[in-house]
Amino acid sequence: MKGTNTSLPPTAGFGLRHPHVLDVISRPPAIDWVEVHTENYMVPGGPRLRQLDAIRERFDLSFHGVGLSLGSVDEPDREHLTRIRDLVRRYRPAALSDHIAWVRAPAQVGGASLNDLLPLPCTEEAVNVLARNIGIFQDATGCQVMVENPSMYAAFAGAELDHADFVKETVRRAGCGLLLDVNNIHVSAHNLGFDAADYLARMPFDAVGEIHLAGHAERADAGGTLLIDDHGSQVRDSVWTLYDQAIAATGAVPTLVEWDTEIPELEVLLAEVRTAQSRLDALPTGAGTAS
Amino acid sequence: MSTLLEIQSRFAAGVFQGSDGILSDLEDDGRQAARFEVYRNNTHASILEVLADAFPTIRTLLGEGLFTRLVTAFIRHAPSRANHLLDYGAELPDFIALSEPLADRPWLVDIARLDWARNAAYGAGEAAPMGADALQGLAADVLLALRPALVPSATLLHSDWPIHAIWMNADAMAESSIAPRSEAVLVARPAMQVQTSLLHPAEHALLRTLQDGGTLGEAAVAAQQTDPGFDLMTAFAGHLSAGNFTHRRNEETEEE
Repeated sequence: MKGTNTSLPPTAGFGLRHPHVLDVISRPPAIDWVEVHTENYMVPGGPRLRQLDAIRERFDLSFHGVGLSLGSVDEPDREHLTRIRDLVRRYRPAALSDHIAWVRAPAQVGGASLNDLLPLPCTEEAVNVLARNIGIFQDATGCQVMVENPSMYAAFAGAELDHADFVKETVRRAGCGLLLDVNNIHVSAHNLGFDAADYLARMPFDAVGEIHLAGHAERADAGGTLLIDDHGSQVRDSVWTLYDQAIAATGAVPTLVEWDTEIPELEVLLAEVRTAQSRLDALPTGAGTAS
Repeated sequence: MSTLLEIQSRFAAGVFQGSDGILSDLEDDGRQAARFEVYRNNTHASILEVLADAFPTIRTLLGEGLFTRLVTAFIRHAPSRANHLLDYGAELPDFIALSEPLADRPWLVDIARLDWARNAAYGAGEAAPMGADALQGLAADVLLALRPALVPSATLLHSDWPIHAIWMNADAMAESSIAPRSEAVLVARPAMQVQTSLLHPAEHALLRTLQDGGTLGEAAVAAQQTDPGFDLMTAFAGHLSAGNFTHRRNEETEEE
């Protein structure tokens, strides 16, 4: 993995969650790779680690973190980094990622975990903090990592960059990869009132090592609809459209379907994976090479 | 323009203490208060889910409404200090012990310890089990001088309340008042399943002595003092074959 942000095969996989683990071990589906949440395996022993051993024998792995809090004003927690490094050594994942977000309150006010991927102000200060923390993440693991563009419900006042430039600048200054979540683009564009296609068009496609797809929910909101990034349903048509635009620019990129709430039968999830794969298969030879 | 430190401090205070200083940091589109509420609810709902998974018996005994109130108070009192919530909840039993509204249900404290022991056992570290073959042919004095340890996933619990019965029948016991009756339990994950076993008082004395670092001889005396008629050998052999014992680390060094 060193030197490039991913060695995942450029095919479609899915986010492996607890209800499907035993199924996937006993009857492995015909896919190349799965993604797991790194934090779910930060335990000293027990069934989870044994199950991941069995999964690793059959599939490539992508480790997707939700807890490093790269956007925190503080540096990443050393113990958390050590636990990630230990898991990387044991399972040799083909990709390692976390989010453009913060999770923990500043140490100065207690450092409590808010257990959610929280938005950042689009400021130079926040880009610099992210670049510093991503650098520490890469140094500690010896990997080039990817960071995921955020999904947001609210924006901060006093932006110095727009949302797309904020992501682009972060990736550029950190020298990391981009995990392009097209559902997040759709959700944030709707909620914050920017143009999704324009945002997508300005992403650094050369840095994209993986794409995420997921469903979202709609909720009535003062004067309109709020889109909730709940990963609890099928991928919407509007998101498939963004996906087609993305892969036209990047070429075939490892693509992941996430489903985290109201988790359906494995077969439903695999049907979504096949849809993504058929769109990758339909790409003309050489797609994305001009970008 | 606020600094990132100010923004993140006010955001966290808004989520945990309900203060609204953060609202002036958000873009003023008339919806900022409603949008911030989404974040506040997400944090509380996700932590509630984590604790409901870790404390299923407490949740059943209290019911949804009271459990939610307990968790809300707990988050305020003892927010998570780690980047993830895998270990979050360890302090909930002590928090329940100090909770005035729950003082009329004193059994809840030990039930919370039982739920937590089961939760912790699932991902606990592992050690090679002590097999029966390791003890075969040992002279009696050598055998009695051994100090077997419990596996790392093991927790011994002793309560003035029938915690095993309550844990087994939490649905039926949610509304009833419970009479005090002492029970002891061993929670352990010798293989892939978490086991929760009711212990005879003498069996508890045996395991407690071993856990405290005593010899098998001392543990046998403690068990006999608790109940002279107790079948010590059968109980010991049962725990041995279940894989609940491991070699104490310093013993291993001595053998090498």
